[in-house]
Amino acid sequence: MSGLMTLALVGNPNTGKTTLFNGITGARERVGNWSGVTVDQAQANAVIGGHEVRIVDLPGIFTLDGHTLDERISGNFIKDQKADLIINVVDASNLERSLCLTRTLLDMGVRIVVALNLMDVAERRGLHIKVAALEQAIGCPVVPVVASQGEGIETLRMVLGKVLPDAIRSPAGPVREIAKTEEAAQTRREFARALAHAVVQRDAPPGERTADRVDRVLLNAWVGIPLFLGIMYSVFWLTVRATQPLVEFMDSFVSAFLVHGLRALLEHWHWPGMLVNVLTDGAGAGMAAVATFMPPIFVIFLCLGVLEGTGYMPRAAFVMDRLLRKIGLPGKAFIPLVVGFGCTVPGLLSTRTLAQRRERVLTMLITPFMSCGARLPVYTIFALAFFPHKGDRVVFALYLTGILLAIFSGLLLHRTILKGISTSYVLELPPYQAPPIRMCLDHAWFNLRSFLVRAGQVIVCVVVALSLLNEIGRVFLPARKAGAPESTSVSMRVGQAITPVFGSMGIQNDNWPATVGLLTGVLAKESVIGALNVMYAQAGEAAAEAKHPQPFSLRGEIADSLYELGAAYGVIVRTVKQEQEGHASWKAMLEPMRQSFGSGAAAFAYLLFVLIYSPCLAALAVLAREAGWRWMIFSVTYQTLLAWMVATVFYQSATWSSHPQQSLSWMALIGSVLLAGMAGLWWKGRQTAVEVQL
Amino acid sequence: MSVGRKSNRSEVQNDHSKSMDGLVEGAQAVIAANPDRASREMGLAPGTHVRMLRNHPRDHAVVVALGDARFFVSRPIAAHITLK
Repeated sequence: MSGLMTLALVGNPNTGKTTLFNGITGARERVGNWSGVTVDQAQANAVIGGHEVRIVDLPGIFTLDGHTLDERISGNFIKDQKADLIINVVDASNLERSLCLTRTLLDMGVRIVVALNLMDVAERRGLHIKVAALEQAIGCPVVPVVASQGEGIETLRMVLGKVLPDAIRSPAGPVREIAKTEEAAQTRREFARALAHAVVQRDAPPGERTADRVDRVLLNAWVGIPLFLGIMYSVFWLTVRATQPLVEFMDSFVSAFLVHGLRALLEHWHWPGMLVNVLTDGAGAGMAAVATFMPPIFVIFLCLGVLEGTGYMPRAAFVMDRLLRKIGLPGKAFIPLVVGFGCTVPGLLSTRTLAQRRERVLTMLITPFMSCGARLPVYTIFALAFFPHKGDRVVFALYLTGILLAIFSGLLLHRTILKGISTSYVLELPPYQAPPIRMCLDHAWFNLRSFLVRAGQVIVCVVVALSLLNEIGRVFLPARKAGAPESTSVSMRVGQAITPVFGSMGIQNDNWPATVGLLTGVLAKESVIGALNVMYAQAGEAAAEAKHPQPFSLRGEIADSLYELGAAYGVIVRTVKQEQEGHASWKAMLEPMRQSFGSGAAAFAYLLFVLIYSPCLAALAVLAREAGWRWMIFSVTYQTLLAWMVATVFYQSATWSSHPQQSLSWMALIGSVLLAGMAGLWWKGRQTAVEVQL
Repeated sequence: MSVGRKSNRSEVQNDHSKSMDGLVEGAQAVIAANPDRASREMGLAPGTHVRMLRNHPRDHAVVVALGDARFFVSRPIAAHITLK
């Protein structure tokens, strides 16, 4: 720790601590309209009153002796005196409850400044707070703020600037031990209740609100479940169908600069052919692949941000409660699962809000089935290649398959090695609100940027490595057979050695690029599409150039891509001939891919495997840290085996009429493996009582 | 006990209606005791006024209003919260 003063944001869950943290520091930490968005501490430096300070955002708490992992992080931070000054974020619309924690902090003798947040919500509810009276009663500064709109943050900074010199001159002494008895807690609650009554003036007594009437409909299972599925389908329609022309535009637009333009430039400068290939077909194509998927990634995170911002998520958790209880999980576990649709890593971390270790482990094992955003580019490209007119339904089917497999796995594990009863819980329903557009855009941009950085690093490294391996192979390995795609590469040798394992799910031996794509996906799912792009596109472009060598024109390529975009959104009307020539930019990759897979059944089986198999390295690292390395190994083994079985069953069913005996043999083998696996889990479950830690 | 819906508002049922899960929709009461520490800390503490918003026997949780706040309360916890 350096010598910087530390200011910690402390308050009840869902009081806007992270929004305030972002407002003070300029950071872009994840925010959401439900309890438990922040599950770990975040920190950033800021200059306040001329002093550079460290600001720490802590998970929400009600007391210092929390029940869950995230609550313990906050409690220990305060008890260990890691903060020189606490910014106590208080919910103005629920002052009584917030003041219990304020009283606890005051009793401990820590130096606090109160940020009275959500003043706008309080005013909408007809609550008027006498700030001066509150300040006098608790004996510390109170600053009204509306963090979501940036109101009051400057005043808060000024007040902190005035308090900081005192904190520097006379650091707070050791925190006082507070009584942990129920009587002491009741005393604090009575203090908070009396103070809230004294300082809050109410226009009308609390009564039924419009939100209650909306909840009456949304919380009904007959409406709630179809509505949830409808919302998710709309998200995938927007993500896949509505952005498809943009994806194609980005592909041709970015490729014009980074692949074709760069190649023309380097060839004009007479750079060595091998280097030109690595830089254009490797790095250039890799970066183009990353850029291509910006629209769907942005849209899916924007949609999830909107859903999170409205307050809908905990309602969905209520609707799913009955279903989750059947697999031994509380409804609360639904939130990590939905977060997993964006990215598995924060989904795994969100399980910290669950009380039992058994529940946490079970949720962590099924969260990877919620298809993350990084897999979306793979689905999108396959939808374009094999299911051009029903891509949204194919993607929705994949997401739905993930949910069904999560339920199946939850049932299996709950009845075998993770037996137990789900804990009872109390979950606060946040108020409905119009999703703050700026926050949603920030959320989408932050995730898009993370995707670009992560994918940029991984994809570019992977595709450059693959290109290098291709080039090295061309030089050092025996010459390829006529007509075989890039057959003299090292990656091909590795791919070909493993590909027979996937034969049962429709991947033929010569389709080794599909296998290499899966291998790179273990590093990061983002890299699958980059690897496929390099290997299929190179083969396709080589064939296309051999047939129709065309001079490069940057202006022509940009004009073509803009024309295609206008035509796709109906701004420009295409002629039949132009319609047939459309999407030329994709042909380089899609046509060899279509030829290699041979059928939609093989392509869909491949997508099923991508959906289900081992989580990426980052997710595995989090899984090992949060659940233990044994569960991490179990997750890799279980998911990869399940992926192979599901993909094989699908492919063999879809192609049954072509080879019934072979399909029957595969089905029998998979049935045996499944039964043996279930028997093994059942036996293990009987042998080992899983430790349940509260 | 049968949990009536929208009947006899503003009254607490008798028999085992002293517990929160017996409170009918629309009825109000004051929490007399709550042995569950976590929910007490969240605000379901003795002396607090609650109003039942949703109480369906098929649901595993009830929805209650505490002033301006709304909570899902698992039925096993609600069953142990006594009202007056």
